[in-house]
Amino acid sequence: MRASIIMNRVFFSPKMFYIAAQTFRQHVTRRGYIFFAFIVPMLGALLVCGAAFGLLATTSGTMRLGVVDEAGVVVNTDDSAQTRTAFQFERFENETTAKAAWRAGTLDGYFVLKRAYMQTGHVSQVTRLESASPARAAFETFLRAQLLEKTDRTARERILGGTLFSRQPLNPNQIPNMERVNSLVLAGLLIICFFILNQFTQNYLWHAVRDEHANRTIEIILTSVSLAEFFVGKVLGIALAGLTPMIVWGSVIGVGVGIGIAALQFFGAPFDARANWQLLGWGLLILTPAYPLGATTTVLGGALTTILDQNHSLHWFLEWIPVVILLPLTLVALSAPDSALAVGLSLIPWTAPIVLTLRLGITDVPLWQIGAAIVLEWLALIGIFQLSVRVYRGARQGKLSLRQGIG
Amino acid sequence: MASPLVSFQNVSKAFGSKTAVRDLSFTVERGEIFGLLGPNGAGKTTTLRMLLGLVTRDAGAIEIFGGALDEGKKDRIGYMPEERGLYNQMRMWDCLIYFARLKNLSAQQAQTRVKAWLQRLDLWEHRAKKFQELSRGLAQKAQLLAAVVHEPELLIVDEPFANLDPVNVQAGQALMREWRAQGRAVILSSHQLHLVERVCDRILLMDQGRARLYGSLAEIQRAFAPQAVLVRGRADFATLPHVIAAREKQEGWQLTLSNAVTPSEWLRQIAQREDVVLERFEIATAPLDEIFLQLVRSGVEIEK
Repeated sequence: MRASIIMNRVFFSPKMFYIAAQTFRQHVTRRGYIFFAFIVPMLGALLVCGAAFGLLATTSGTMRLGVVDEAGVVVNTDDSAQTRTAFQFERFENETTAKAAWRAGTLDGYFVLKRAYMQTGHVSQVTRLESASPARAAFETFLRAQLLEKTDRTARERILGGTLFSRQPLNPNQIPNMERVNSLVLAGLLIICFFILNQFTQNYLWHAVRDEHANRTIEIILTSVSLAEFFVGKVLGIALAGLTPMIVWGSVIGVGVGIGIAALQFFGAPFDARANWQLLGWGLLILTPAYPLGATTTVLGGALTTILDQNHSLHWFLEWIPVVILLPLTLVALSAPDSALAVGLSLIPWTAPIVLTLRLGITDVPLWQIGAAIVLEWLALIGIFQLSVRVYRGARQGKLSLRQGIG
Repeated sequence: MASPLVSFQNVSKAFGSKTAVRDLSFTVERGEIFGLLGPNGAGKTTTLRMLLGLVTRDAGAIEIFGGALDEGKKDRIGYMPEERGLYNQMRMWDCLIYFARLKNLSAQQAQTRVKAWLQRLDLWEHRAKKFQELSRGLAQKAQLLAAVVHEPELLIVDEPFANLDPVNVQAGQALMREWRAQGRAVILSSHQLHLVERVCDRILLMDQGRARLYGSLAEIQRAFAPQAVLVRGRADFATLPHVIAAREKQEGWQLTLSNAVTPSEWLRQIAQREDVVLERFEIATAPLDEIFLQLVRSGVEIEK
């Protein structure tokens, strides 16, 4: 069947959507699904919120920190010099008075700028363990402001705002990569979500086709719809069923992460929470055909087992290939992200989703590689889909050889 | 003359080395109940599956609604398979609505028709149950409902009377007659010959993939019992002249007459006898079971 006919008959078929809707309903109304998709993240969010509020209650309010300036660096501790964080700095004459205030509970900790600070950079810190890092980060910012006190105000604010880097790529066709750790984190998150979705739904897909074949329901279905409509409807329905908990989990985690980032920034941690929207966009374009490609490959596997042997399962094979074979290859490729191996794996439709997405978080990937990978994924999807329809149709003729089934 | 609704021409199908259907030809007309009959393994289900496009033929031509089967024609066909093909974990109502929507009924139409049929088949009170909670008979009725809800022009039922009690068998037969009266066609496949011979107009009797009998049921039955009569009354029927065999039945006596006299001539003769009080006289037809056994023993293929 030509690809154009498939497109017309399947992708504009309301029956395909009925099948997708029924498949979706079939899964999302199960108790286990509701528990996993909705109850667990809500409970988790409640627990985390409860812990966060509890922590906040014990650490709420402005933390007062003392500064013992033996080096003579601190110039100004009035309000205009304080950074907009939850920390307020107060100067003390010596460490004895600072320690006394700390023991009296009027201070949450203090820093001592040693006399030889300008030569050694040595600062001693006395704070509670749980607030040591944010306190140190706030003190760094405060100290920088003190050192720049005599600098022009505009220049001081610019320097305190952070350095603005602009990278010039060697190759004009490359996408400039924002060198921030969150790019790799985002790429990793996309891969994890894709992997979870794939593993979550693969089992359902495998059994969906085989079980419907076994219980004869498919005979009634196929007297109403074409095999292609049935396959696409199943894949779509199960994909939606897989995406739903991911959206719920993602939303809950996203809100939580957003709150966490805001809290960290409030406490002065040098954390850049800006999202790499370009990477997100490319990642979604790469992963969008990848899921149905994996799903259709699973469907093909299900159809193949009905030819080869009813008891011979390819399921474990398809399920563990990504871990056993692809994972080592991926690690090797990412250790040299611009190597021929990495480029090659970025163009193979079944490895591109992982390898290429991770490369986008690490290095500058040429546009042509991204474009070629996406096109090859879609071509592979159409090819595998046609093959699985043909094999499944052949499988319904009875026990044939593999060649007869495909032919 | 209108073209037949269904046409099989020299159709064959083999699964590996086993020939399931061999050079089969028949037609099904509008407004008739066509019986596709035969013992287990005769090739009936394979024939139906080829008709529905579920299995591809190896040779021959199959036409339905005047041409090859395509996706658009599927909405005009209703199919009830031999084995129950329902989602065990689904509620009856949801499942039937789903099947109805797949036949291109709107949501409103599907709900209206499913409700009407559930009430007609005494399934309304079970609509919220899952299929795994239903008896075989109820599930079978639901299966039939799924096949007729969209009012197809061609209804194909495979072993429709299995698992049904006599009351529901009668109800099913009445439904088929009603369907016929509306100008629709029914293809009825079964190995329960004694049940289907009450409703079928024409039949195709298969055995080992081949056609053994094909044609009008009434003519076939008469052809296999030309000298048989059914009588009821008061007389020693077995000893009457020209009676070569007599078998007592619930409705009377079935007598086999010699070839020396026609049934009508024999009736004229015994009607004048004083020792015979005749309450009923009828030309007997041979049951399909007996016809089939005769054919199988003789190994003869007879076609119209």
